[in-house]
Amino acid sequence: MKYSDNNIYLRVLIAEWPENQFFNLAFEEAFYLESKQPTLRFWRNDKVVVIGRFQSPPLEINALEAKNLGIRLVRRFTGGGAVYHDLGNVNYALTLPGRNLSIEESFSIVGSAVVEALGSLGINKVYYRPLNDIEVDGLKVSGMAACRSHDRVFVHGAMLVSSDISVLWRVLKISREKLSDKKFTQSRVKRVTTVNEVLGRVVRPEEIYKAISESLSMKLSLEVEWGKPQESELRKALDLYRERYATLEWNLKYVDEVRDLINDEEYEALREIAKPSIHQEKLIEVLGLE
Amino acid sequence: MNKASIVCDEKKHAGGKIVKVCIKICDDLVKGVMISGDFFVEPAENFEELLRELASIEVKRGEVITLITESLKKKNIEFGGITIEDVTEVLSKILQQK
Repeated sequence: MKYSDNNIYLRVLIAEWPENQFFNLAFEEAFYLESKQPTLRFWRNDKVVVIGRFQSPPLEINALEAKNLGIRLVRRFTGGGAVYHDLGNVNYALTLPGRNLSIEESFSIVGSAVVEALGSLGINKVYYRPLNDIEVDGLKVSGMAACRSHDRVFVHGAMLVSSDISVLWRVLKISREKLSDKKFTQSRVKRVTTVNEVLGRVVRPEEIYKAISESLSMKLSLEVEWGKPQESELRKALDLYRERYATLEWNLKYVDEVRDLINDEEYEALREIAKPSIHQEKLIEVLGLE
Repeated sequence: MNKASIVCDEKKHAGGKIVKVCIKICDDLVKGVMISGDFFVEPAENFEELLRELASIEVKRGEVITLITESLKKKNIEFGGITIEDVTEVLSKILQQK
């Protein structure tokens, strides 16, 4: 796809606050809304379950297990399913202002670019599996989510590079539909894989960043231009953090409707993991935006 | 009148996403419906508005499917990864339970 507007650059950012997952998600929406040019963001999160916009936390997460493991809970602004992030996970996000693409087209563009990137790192049998997965020989290595507005499209994805997959299965509730799938229950851990496992070596995040930015640059016919977050993006992120991502109202949406399904202990655990700790709040103060 | 209870069920769309429906039900009255899952929706805001409305409805058991299908159409809600039929199928399964 040729990006034919006046933009000739793909702005690429490494913008991450792994120690405050709530701000990380706030910045994700901020740069989607604020970017004036095609922008690709790479980032990592530490120990968090990120749920989709239309998911109900009690139906998706084992809150007590998450609390015991020091894992937080944040809701993102795109649909799709719950994912577990740790520092072994690399996230990529692309916003294209001025583009009018369907969700399917957006997934296809980013998915095929990520496939090419993984191929360039030496992974064979990697392919894009519509609607929003990237698999290696039948095992999921990356999932994507997307949204669009009247003047832009947005796709983001999480890639398992060296994540602790066993934690993923401990904190995510597996639906009965999946449990009835014999293939699934026989090898839960083997439904997914990591880049390191496939390549048999330790892959640095920077290798992934370079490979994806180069393949997307080719696909969009844009030249890579490494940049930094703009002040307007950071300020918007801070607003969104305060109004949305650091609040129980946002992260625990769709809990009251099924409150009777969980006990008080689980409910309290949800309330604890779905908001920033005092330590995390202090990390925001040092940004100096307030 | 009996105490309201919450009943949930779900469906995985072939090769697609999972839709989970929870209904708050008391005798013959449905007092709340929640539709959740790992699907995509456009426009998101319209769907969220519908979910807010459904959280505190009070309709007869036999009227809830029509209410939801009509509301989805009226609000121009389009799903990705599931269909409206998936939603109504799960609703039917729950409503058929005693």
